[in-house]
Amino acid sequence: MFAFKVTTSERILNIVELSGILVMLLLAFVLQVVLNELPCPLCLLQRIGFFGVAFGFLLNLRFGLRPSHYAIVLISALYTGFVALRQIALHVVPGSGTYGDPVFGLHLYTWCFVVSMLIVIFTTLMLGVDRQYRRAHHSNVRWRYLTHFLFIAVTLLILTNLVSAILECGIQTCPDNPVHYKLFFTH
Amino acid sequence: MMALLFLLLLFAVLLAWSGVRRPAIYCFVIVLLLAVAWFAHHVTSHLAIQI
Repeated sequence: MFAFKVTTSERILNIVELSGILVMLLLAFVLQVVLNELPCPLCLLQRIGFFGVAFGFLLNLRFGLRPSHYAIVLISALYTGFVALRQIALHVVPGSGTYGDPVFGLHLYTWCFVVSMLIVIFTTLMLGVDRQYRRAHHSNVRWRYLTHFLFIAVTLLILTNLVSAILECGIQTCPDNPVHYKLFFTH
Repeated sequence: MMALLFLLLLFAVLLAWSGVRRPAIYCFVIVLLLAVAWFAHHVTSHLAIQI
């Protein structure tokens, strides 16, 4: 049973941020398939961090806005930021090479760091809006459908990443610099 | 390992979708702990630090 306890504007902001993260994860997957840019272990951990952010927003939409859900978003965004920063540090010294091609002048892991910091700032601001925690039950069929759609989108994206991770790494540790899918090239 | 993380994450999302909030959050906490452990392992193995 759905019990929305949120005001519309905060709910819309949650949906906007969740949609942005989903678009970003989808683009990362499209780049992986089209340009054959296989994700490294740190890239996969960054994706897991972003899925954690999406999970926090999904909880907000499913069970109503709560500070504990925003805490999940914040800890996931911080985790993603740390992993991205680690990858930036690996390549920050001139001549140490890069991973993947740049997009709009920055590499994907740099974009990850920028986006995760933006999520931290945005979520901290959202967390401080007290009126969203007031109990105001107004269940709306359209919001339910939208929430179900977002759940389906997140589930499909996790499933595709799960299959991709199995194809790329099998059940072993992922290689640091993958060049092909392990299950396609067994020799 | 990555596949396991994605699998647990999928399970957490499905639990939340089906309406069980607390188990979904517990499942996600396990994912987060494993992800932090995997990240720590990655960092220490690259820096050759034994902890």
